[in-house]
Formats: sequence, C-alpha cells, structure tokens
Amino acid sequence: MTTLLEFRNVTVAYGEAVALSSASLSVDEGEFVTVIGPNGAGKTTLLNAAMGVLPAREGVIAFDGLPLRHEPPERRVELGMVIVPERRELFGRLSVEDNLRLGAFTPRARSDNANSLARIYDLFPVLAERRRQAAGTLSGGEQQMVALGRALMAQPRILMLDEPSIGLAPRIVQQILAAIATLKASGLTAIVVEQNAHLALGIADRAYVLEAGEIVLSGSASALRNDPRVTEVYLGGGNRYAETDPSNDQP
Amino acid sequence: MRRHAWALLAGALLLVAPWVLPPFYVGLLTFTGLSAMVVAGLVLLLQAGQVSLGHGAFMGLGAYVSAVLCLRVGVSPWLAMPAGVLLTALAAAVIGRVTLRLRGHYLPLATLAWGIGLFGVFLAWGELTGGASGLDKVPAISLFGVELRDDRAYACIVWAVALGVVVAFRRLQVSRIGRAVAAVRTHETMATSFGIDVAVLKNRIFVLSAIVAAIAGVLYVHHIRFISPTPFNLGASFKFLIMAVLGGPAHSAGAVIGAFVIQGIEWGAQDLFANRLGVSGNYEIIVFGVILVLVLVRWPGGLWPAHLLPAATPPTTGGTPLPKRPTNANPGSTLLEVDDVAVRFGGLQALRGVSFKLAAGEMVGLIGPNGAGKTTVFNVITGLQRPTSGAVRFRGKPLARHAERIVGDGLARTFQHVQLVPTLSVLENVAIGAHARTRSGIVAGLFGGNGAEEQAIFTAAYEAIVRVGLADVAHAAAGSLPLGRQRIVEIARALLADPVVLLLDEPAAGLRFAEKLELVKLLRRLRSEGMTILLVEHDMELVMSVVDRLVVFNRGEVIAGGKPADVQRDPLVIDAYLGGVA
Repeated sequence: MTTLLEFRNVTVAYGEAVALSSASLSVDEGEFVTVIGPNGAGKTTLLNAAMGVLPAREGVIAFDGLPLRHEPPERRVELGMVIVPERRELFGRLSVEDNLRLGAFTPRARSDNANSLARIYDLFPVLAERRRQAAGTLSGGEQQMVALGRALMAQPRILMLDEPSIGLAPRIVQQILAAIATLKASGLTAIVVEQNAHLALGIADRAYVLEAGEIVLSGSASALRNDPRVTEVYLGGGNRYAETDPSNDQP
Repeated sequence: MRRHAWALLAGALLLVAPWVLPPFYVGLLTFTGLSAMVVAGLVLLLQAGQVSLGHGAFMGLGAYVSAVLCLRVGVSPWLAMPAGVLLTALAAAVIGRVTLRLRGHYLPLATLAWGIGLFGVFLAWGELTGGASGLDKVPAISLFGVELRDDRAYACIVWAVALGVVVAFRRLQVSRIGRAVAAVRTHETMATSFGIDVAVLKNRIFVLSAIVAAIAGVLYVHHIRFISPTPFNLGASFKFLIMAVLGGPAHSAGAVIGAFVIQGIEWGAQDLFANRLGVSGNYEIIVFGVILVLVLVRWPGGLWPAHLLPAATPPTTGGTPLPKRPTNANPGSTLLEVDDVAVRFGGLQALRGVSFKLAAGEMVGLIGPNGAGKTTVFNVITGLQRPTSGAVRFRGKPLARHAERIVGDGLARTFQHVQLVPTLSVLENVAIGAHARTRSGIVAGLFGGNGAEEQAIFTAAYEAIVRVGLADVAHAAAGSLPLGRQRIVEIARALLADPVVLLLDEPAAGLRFAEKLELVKLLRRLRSEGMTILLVEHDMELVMSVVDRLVVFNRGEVIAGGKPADVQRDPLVIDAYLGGVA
C-alpha cells in the first residue's frame, strides 16, 4: 500500500506561538485515520498546514510521494487534497445544488460533474429534495452534508474532515457518521480531525493523539479506545506544575 | 532634554522664517501653517483609528460663519471667529453622533458624503454665502486698533497657533485620554472593559479635530479677506488627509511634516511643469499620486521618524497612591453569583440554567469542551453579553448594565487574544488599567493640570509591573515582547484596575511550557495574596493544578463542579470531553 499523505517533523507557528511541534504522521491509500485531542491541541492547524493555508516552519509535508513546498491551496485541491472546513463555509444564499457544483471547480472534477452529483444525492437523499433551497436555510446537520458533498464533488484522493461532529445533535452526528462509513466502505482515503475521541475512534482504522501541539500517542483505533492515557490527555492527568506549588516546599 | 531642544529649534525657525523669506514664500508658509492645523486634527483622528474626507468642509464652515457674521450682521471678527468655531463644533458633534458608529470603509464614505454636502451648502445658499462668486471685503482682524494686514506678522501668528495645537495635541497623546484613544483604535472591546466609553470618546476626539479645522478656517478667511467655496472642496479634504497619512499617527508633529512635504511637492511640481517644462495643466497631481504610493509602500506608518528619536520615559516613582477600593469582603463570603443564566442567539440556546458562585479568595476554573459555552459565560460576567434570562450579582448587587461600568465595580479581565496596544510601552499599556480610577479629561490632557495624576498612575503601574516580574521590560514596546510576557502584561493591566475579582480568559493559550510555568507561579502568588480569580482555560493539566475548584460546562449547561481530582473522575465529565460512546 502506498503512503498518500505524510508529515515528517512538521512545525507550524503563529508568530511566537508554536501550534504544531515536530509532528510526524502518515495516511496510506484507502486508510481512514483520525487525529484526536482536546481543544487547542493543534488539530485544525495540522489540516491547514496540509492544505498549504499555513506554512510549515520546519519539516516536510508530502502528498503521494511528492514533497509540497510552495504549492498554494488551489493547486493542492487539483492534486486531490480536499478539506471540509470546521465552519462548513457554505455560500448561504446559493442553492444546495449550486454549492455542490462549486465543489467541482477544478478541470479534473468538472468533467465528471453530473455523475458526482448523482452519487451525492444517493448518499444524502435529503439534499436531493432540497436541491433548490438556499444553503443558509438548512439545519446544521444538512449544512454539514452539503459541505461534505461539496468536498466529494472535487473528486478527492484524500478527504480531510475538520470536526464533522461539532455543534450537531447526537442524532444528526449518527447520520453524518453513517455517510462517512459508506464512504469508507467505498475505499475513500480520509483524515478526520475530531475532539470527540470516542466517536472518532469508533470509525477510524488508526489514530494519533495530539496534546498541546505534539503527537503524544498513536496506534490502532481499537487499541486506543480503551487506553487510559487518552483520558489523561483530555483531562490533564499530568503533574508538571506541582513543583511550583508553594505548599510542596518543605523548609 | 535633547528632544525638547530639537522641538524648540524647529519652532523658533518657523517663527523667524517669515521675516527672512521673500514675500512669495511667506504666503506659502502661512498656508502650510493653516494646513498643519487641520492636519493635526486629522492625525488625532488617525490615532483613534478614524479617517475623514470632510475636514476641508469643516474648515470652510468655520470660515463662512465668521465671514457671514461680519458682513451680514456686522459683528466684530473677535466675536465672529469664536462663533464660527463653536458652530463647527456643534455641527461636528451632531455629524459625529450619526456617522462614527459606522465601521470599515463606510466611515470614510460617510465623511465624504457630508463633506460634499457642506460644500453644496456653501455653493447653493447664495443670498447668505454669495454662491460661487463668494464674498469679498471680509474685515481683517485688528489688535489694539491696528489691523493685522502684514503678511509676515500673520504668518508668525498662524504658526504660533499651529505649533500650539501640535504641542497641545502631543500632550494629549501621551495623557490618560491619549492612551484611551490608542486603546480604542486597537481593541474596542478591551477599551470598554477598562471603563472607556468608546462612543463618547470617539465623538469628543472628532469634535476636537473639527474645532482646530475651524480655527484654521477663521484664520484663513480674515487673512485672505475673500471667501468662495473652492478652497473647501473635496480636493482640499483629500489633500489634508494625504498630509495626515504622510505625517503618520505616531506623533502629532507628523502633521507639520506632512503639510510641508505635500505643500513643497505641490509647489515644486507646479514650478517644474509651468515654468521649466512650459506645460500647463494640473500635472502635479500625478507627481502627488506617485509619491504618495511610494511613501505608503515604504513607510506605511508615515514619515515621522519615531524610531530615531529617544522615547520619553515617564517618572515611575513618587506619585501619591491612587485611591483604593475599600475591601470589606471576608474570605469565603460570596462575591460573584451567576444565577440561572440563559443566553439564546436566535434559535441557538448557548447557555441554559447556569448557576455558580465565586467566594472571596478562591481561584476557580471554568472548563468544558469546545463550544460548551465558557466564552459566553465569560462575556455575560464581563457585561459584553446580556443574558436572555437570569442574573449576575456582584457583591450582592446586579451587574452594571453598561460594560464600561463593570471595571469600576471591581471586575477586571484579560483577553484570550492578547489585546495590548503594540506601539505603546509596557508601562503605558498597564496604565490603561487605571482609566476607571482616574479623572483627567481632554482639557487637562491638552493644557496641563494632570501632572500629579499622571505621576500617580505611572507609579502604580510600575508597582504592578514589579509585582508581576516585568520590571526589566517596563519601557519596551508591548508588541516586542514574546507572547508569554504579553499575557503577563495583560494581568498587570487588570491589576491596575484595583480589582476585587480577576477574570482571566485562557491565559495559557499559545504559551510554551516555560512560559506556562511562569504564569502558574504568578497565579499562585496572586492567590496567596488574597486575590479572587476566575479563569477560563483549556490546558487541563495547568488548570487542574492551580485552581481550588472547577465548574464544568457542556452544551451550555453546568454538568459538574468540585475539586480537580473529583472532576477528573466524574463519568459525566469524561463523556463530555471524550464524547459519548457512539
């Protein structure tokens, strides 16, 4: 199996603040990988670096064996890297179908426009019903479906999902999950960034755990599901600040 | 002292120049001085983050009112001139109230509109203003029975006034009001949180800038003794704005530089095209444009060489202490009470039935996963968000309804995204914290009388800086510090508000581990000194190890509370953070 996306010791910083520090990970073709971690761990930064929205200060990001350096985001979309942003970022006044069509902007994707559209309406029948409705008037879950559909219209070789469950009711999350499971079964390669660890570990093959910009754990999703260290990462089990506690100083 | 020596030398040169220059240049000098006055007002506006394309019209309004009163009513220029300035101030107050709430590109567009509008009035109200042909025989000013008609004396007077304006505006810039203006320009939310009424301050600054434009207008009209609409058209407003941008907002004296550079270029280009190349037409406009673009690309902050001049360092000792809040809270008594608070944004229920208390001397952490409602709670407590239902009580009384009053009651905060004025020193940034405890206004800032209070503010600010361990960088620009130290500056600024409760919004976000250690040490020290602290933080390891107690949010509700060790074991909390098993 070939490695599709690879990070080798990638560091990303916003001015002074290091958001991702020397992170290494890989996603093989056909694999479903998740990156989990608490709020502020650097998950969205990781995806933005992959897309070229943020520059990597150090390290190498490679796609399909090709190191990406100054390729702008639109070039990476042409290569087949497609993101579903956390805030969905739909065109609220355009219809569902127009939003979907906008996903197929690259020449490669445009040629197969009609086919892709049919596939997406198969995946999310509710979108077919609402194809003429303005995207901004849809519910949160339906908007997430449009965002996912728009990304699929771009014919991704790797799909990057940023917090697909955020702000959605559990029932809607189940619907989105079912769609993601269908995509996975069809062999799509994906990297899902999620704060909801149990959910992400339930659908992924492999997982990485980010804490404060560093990858602190990795392994098969099923093994990590019962690993107490994951809980510690989320709930602060460490004890590195104890030395500053004056009550520990015994004269 | 070297700074003052340069300023005195430049001032003396300007006042002597009219007596040695040929007459043609004396005229130019007078116009440059009048421009510098208007531009000083625009530089002040730039310092507040505003632009105006209507100040040419304000200059015209002052001039017209004075001229019309003299010619149609027959009053003395000595009465007509103040009337012109006063009426312009009133007009600016009304216009400012309507337009200053506009943001982004709407504000300059609105100023453009009323600039054109006033010009239209000058032109159209013929029976009063003489229309396009204007009014002549405007009386000259007489002083002790002698008419001021000597061009050299007049140039001297104009420059004396212009330099007076620049000096007063510079005093204002480094005063309590000047720091508030800088706060409003960079971070309006922060300004509000430290007790600055943003709308009122913006309007006052706007009126002040219109007043100096009107002063320039009346001095102009009684010198030229003829008035027509053309000198106050849109082109004039543009020229003034270009001068202000060229001079830059760094220093009020930038106005003088901007005025000289543009006037010099205009005259030089006219001379070049008309007299040397023999072409006619307004080609100097092209030269203008090219130079402006070059300067803005090369020196976007303007031409004032701020970095070459030594910075003034205010005295940091010896002030009388600022008035302290009476602290009568017994340790353990309830200070802050959030009672059944709900917040709804349209269809989204952001908070529901949120209740918790904060007792004197406690350090409490608000935690919860992304989107749990922590920031909304924080905004409710700091008055930035009004609850849909429920109440927040501070020391038994409902929270002030205006966000800018809350700091005066004793709640001071820091910001998740650092909100310092990067160009001001650490000391000046911390001094902003004292805004609500001090009084000196615009008049004291311009003309003096704020010396003792300024010294008290800076003494207290320096004490706060020493308290948090930043004494070595007290005079450095806040923007030059690493993020960790900027966050500590934010805490010092909040301390200067003499808070009863310190509210910290994600103080550790983006810090390196060593910086976090410093932060934790400081928090522990403040806690041991008896400060009550509420913090929102998502570095769980950090928050677990510093707080006495936690309040845990999920989906807009409080789901747990208690000591860190208990919260870490709470299955509801584990579920909230790691997600329910799907």
